[in-house]
Amino acid sequence: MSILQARRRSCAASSLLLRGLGFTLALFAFLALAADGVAHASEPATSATASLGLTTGEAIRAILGLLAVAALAYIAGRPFVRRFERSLGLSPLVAFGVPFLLLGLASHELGILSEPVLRGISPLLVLGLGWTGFALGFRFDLRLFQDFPRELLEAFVLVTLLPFAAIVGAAALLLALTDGVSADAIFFRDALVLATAGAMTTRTVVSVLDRARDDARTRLLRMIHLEELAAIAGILVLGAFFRNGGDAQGWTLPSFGWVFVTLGVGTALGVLTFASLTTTKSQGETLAVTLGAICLSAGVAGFLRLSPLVVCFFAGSLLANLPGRWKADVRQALLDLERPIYLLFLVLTGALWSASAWEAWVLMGLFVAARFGARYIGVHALALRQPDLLSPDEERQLASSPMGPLSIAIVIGAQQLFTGTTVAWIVHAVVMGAIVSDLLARLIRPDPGPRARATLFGFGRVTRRLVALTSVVRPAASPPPTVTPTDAASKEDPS
Amino acid sequence: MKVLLLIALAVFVLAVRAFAPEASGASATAIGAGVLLLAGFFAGSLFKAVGLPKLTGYLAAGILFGPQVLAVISPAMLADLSVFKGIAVALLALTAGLEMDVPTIRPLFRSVRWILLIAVLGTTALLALGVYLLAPTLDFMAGLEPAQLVAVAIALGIAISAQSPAVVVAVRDETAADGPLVKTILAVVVFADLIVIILFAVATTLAKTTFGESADPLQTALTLGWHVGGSILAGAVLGIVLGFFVRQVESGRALFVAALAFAIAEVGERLHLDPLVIALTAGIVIRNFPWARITHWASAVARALRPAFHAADPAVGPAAASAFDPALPASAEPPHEPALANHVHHAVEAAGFPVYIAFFAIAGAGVHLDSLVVAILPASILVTVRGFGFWLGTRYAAHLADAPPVVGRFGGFGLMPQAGLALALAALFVQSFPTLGAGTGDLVFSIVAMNEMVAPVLFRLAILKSGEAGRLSAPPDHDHPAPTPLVSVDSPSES
Repeated sequence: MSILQARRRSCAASSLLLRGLGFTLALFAFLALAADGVAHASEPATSATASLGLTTGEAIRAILGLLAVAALAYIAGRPFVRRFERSLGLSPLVAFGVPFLLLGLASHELGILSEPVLRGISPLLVLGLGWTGFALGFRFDLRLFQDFPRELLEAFVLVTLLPFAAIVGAAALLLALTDGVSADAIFFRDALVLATAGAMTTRTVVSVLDRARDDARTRLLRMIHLEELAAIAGILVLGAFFRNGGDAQGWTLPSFGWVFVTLGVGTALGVLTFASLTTTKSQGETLAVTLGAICLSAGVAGFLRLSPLVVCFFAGSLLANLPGRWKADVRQALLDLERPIYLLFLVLTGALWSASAWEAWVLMGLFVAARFGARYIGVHALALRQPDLLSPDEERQLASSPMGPLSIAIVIGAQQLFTGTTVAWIVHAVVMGAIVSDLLARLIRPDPGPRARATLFGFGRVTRRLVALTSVVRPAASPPPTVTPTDAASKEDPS
Repeated sequence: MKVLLLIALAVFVLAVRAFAPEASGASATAIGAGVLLLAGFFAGSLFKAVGLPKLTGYLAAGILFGPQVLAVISPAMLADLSVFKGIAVALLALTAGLEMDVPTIRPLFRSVRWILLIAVLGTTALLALGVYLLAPTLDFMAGLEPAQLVAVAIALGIAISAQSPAVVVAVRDETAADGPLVKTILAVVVFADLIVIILFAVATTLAKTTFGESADPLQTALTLGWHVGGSILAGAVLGIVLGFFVRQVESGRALFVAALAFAIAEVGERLHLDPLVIALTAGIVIRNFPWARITHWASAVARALRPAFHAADPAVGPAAASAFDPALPASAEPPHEPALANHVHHAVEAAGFPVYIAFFAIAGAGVHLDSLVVAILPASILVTVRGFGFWLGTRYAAHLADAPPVVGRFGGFGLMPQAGLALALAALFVQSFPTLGAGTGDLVFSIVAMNEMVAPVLFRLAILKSGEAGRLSAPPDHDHPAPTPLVSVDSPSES
């Protein structure tokens, strides 16, 4: 394709996008104004939102606002936007995380995400956590753990467990000093949650590694899988041992019993979903069953006050490791909505955000320092012990790796499971800490790398792809892609 | 297998419900959605296997798992799931509107007119007479003045005569039927719904005067004008928006359609517009709007502007000019009108399948079996009168209109299905006449329950007997060989 053609198409695409956006905004504005006008003369409505006790104007503002936020999250989750952001060397948090966080804050202030609305959409939060857990589990290929090399275990200890321990130590100390040491060791629970979220390495790290070093990418991906498994196990144990008893209802079980209940429920739901999926005959049926299974799994987990993330992870991983012709459809559906859900989490976090407590800011600072310092030490120790494992650039990337969506999902899940003032602090620490550590990483790595630099100046290539993606002519149906461990990072990475 | 899965699902959820018998909240809502989706899917497949409509299976699953039988779904869960109702009705009405290709159905207008006049209005009169004659057996009508008796009988007769385009579309889709019978019935039920809405508003206003309430005819006319006229206007605008969106954007159509259906249902209710009429009009506009002509004019304007763009920048001029052309940039051929409607149809199909399962299962779960027992005798008589009226009326009307024999023989069965509109009118009636008590609601709910269970089966049989089943060939949509999934699948090269 000639340069002229590329420029023609890029110009046309930007114009189309701008027109579409302008038209949609104008329509929303018109509808909101019209609605406000009619609202005062209207009687109480009988719609699904009527039970929230909102006036007509508030309800319409909330509905349209939510739809607009969902549309933005969907657009931001499209593959071409991801490639665009990667090609510019931007991390997801910098590119979209902060804007969506601010969008949530603004939505709350504007009355779109008011308290009744947040209460009304709470099933979506449960479903979102379940979806994230299911998607995570569906990526969990047991074959990656066959013949697990010893040097990777060493890497796991240095790159993951060392930061984990450092964060636990620092956070537990601060929480004990500020919130006090209670009999149920809440400070320790929160420190463990914080450390679990902080120990995660984002999958984007794999995609920025040198493509020629396929073996290094595969090894790192296997380590990240191990990290995710450890995180799920951690939440499982935390959820069982620091279980929020709540009211008098429910079963009385010893703490360890809840571990088995979680595993049992996850497995039972996985088996039920698998059996259901084997009866499907079309893509539509597969998607309906998948949606039903995720709703059921997340709902059951929430109902039993278990972590939807963990229960759905087990159900999803069971499906991933059993045979089935429906797997490509399920995988694509799960991954397509994973990032929009993560962005909606950020919007909700923004809406619930309370930055008034100084302890939350101190905790965030401590969290970032402990994570960053321990990771740096861990990666360098790893480089000393295994000089051939990573190149110097890859070491830098790994040491300064930002946090991924799983970290956010972990603290949002914790917010659903646990109570107490300090829970809001850890959410604040992880979300803000993720942004701060990303910015710090940018400072440490001033050079975006040859690939990013090349595409930064070769803007036309990105826009050319944009045009290709927004073209009405859909490419002919192709067989589902087979995901090899090496490709998984770039293909499945929601961030 | 599916029976076992149904049993396993019931046992599993009942076991989980033992944790906290009073199920409500976000998790309970998610469980409800999951159970109804999965149970509806299994039951639908089972019913299909024994030659019954899937839709009846969804309803049966709802009844089985609903509060009246197994009580897996609590009334609180059911109330929280009402959001599905609005979306499903909007999607089904959109589908019905997309079928209204004016040039194709113009030859059927004569039959439609006669059927509306004789079968629909005649049966309404017959039902009003039936209610009047049954008054001594109906507790809620005891002690009414003769004028009140007549007014209430007329209003109830209208409410009971309401039909269901949603069920007609669902059964038509399931049997893939096409031909004069299906086309005529679809047009009749669409127009009949409008007539019923208008007649009911007038009848209740008049009935109120017999109860000594002041009724302002001008206010009634204005409300009705806003309800119907505003809905048509809103539908036309949304139809054009949806049409342009589908023309310009390829991915995420199903999600966009689902979001639009949600907005139509929720915002429409809040503004006292009719979601059914809005979506129906939107579908009719998409099918019949002169897209090609508009595109032609826009292209002419773009061509006229091209020299100006070219003068500004020879490199990007042609592309910029083509970007102002709504047909589509560069070399893309503008899609012809039926293709556009088919694109929307695919999107509705993809978004609709899980929603329809949930909708009909929720409808089943909402069936008041206790009311059915209380009002079984008068309800059975009125169901018989209604069915007989539609059947005989359609036969006679088809004879007068010289309609194809198949319309006369089987058309009446298509008018029998009943669902949301009758229930909504009943609720409105109870709200308007609180002195009559809940008895009116019980009577209408019982009639709807009977029709829900029997009428889809009869209509399906009628379609099979008519020979129109399986005639609906896949729309000529070369870009989309298969329906678009709930979430769009990018080509592997772009993932």
